[in-house]
Amino acid sequence: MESAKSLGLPLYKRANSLSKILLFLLSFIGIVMARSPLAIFSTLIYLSFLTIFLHVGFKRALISLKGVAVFSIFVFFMNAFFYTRENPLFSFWIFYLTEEGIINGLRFAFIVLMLTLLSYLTLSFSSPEEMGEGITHLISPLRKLSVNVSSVSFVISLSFSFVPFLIAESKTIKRAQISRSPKRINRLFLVFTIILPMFISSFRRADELSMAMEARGFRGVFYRKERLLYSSGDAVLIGVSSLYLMIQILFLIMEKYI
Amino acid sequence: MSEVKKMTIAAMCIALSVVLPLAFHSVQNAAAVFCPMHIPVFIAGLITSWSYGLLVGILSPVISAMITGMPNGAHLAPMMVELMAYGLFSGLLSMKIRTKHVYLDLYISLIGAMLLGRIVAGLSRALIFMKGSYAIGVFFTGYFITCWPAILIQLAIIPSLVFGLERANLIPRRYAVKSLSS
Repeated sequence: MESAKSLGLPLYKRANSLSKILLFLLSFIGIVMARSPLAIFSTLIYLSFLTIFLHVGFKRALISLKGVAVFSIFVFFMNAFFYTRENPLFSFWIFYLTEEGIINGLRFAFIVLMLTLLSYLTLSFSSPEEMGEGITHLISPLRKLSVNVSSVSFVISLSFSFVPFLIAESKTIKRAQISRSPKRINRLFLVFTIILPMFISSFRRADELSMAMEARGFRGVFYRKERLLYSSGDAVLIGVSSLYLMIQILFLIMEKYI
Repeated sequence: MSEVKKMTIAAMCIALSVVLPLAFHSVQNAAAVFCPMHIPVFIAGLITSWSYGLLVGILSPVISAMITGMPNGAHLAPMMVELMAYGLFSGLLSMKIRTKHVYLDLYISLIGAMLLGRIVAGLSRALIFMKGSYAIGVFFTGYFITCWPAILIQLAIIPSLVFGLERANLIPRRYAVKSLSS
């Protein structure tokens, strides 16, 4: 059913939270399964399609990969030199450059980059609250196994809302620690100095929040499930991601048996 | 501890397990060596209950993967099993072990959870994720040798942190304080 509210919006914005989370999950599984060059090529086409479809733009998509570029290069070199010691192309001390290692390294570096891009694309068209709501809808069948779905969904949505607060808090603490030290602090030491203050401030925040909720009569026993409205956007998102996953499964079967 | 407070603490621990590795990723390979995601999971298990520890263990890597793309696909499922076991066992041991000494309780629970969690994680890799290609040497290297700095840091930080939170009255005390009159 097409809701009156969603008319006039781009196709991907009309989709409900469940479809958005399903797009992420199906694509995630598909990317992890990509092994052969053909599967990797199809993943690239799929993510390019998503980039165009979600109006993100290739420049912004490439900028999102900047943060993990160094990590991917590190993953590649670790695999290339340490994966195996059999049939080395080149060896020096403990380093063994092998063909198998290079292929494996390229694959893992590719997976890291593509998963980061997928996370960026998913967050570009859905808010953290929507993702929390999507997970709640996804796990709602667990109620039949006596799982307290309302508590789980509450924890998920609350954790999503805590992340920006904690990122801001960690930056503040980091700046405070740098300003206290007259010398330049080692980066690793700086990371350790933020752990304790971060835990204390986050637990204080959790304490205040729980007290405020209890004072307003909230006891954690509720169940809220909004009815999902389906539109053409949902069909496109689920259809495209399912098709991609099926293609990846097909490539995997072809690689194994043919 | 009330149910609402347990839920809030569990949510905060999940958020911490997303943000802490982000801070560690600024230093080359630090996240892999220091395992920052383990700390909030152990704390959730120790101070809430086994069920919330289990929940934090399952959800932390999933939500972190959704927001930051880390842990990546190949490591997500084994990590979920490992963290789930840490949360579950730290909660169960913390509930059962009562020696009347807070630090002793915390250390026994923590060390027990670390060992049992690693056994579960090793078994899951040997039987499911890396069936047929997982050796005992790889298990010891991966879970005890490579990450020895993480083990030391967790043993140093977690009990002190839980004790500090008790002292700051942010969580209920394990044992009632002896009154001066008695």
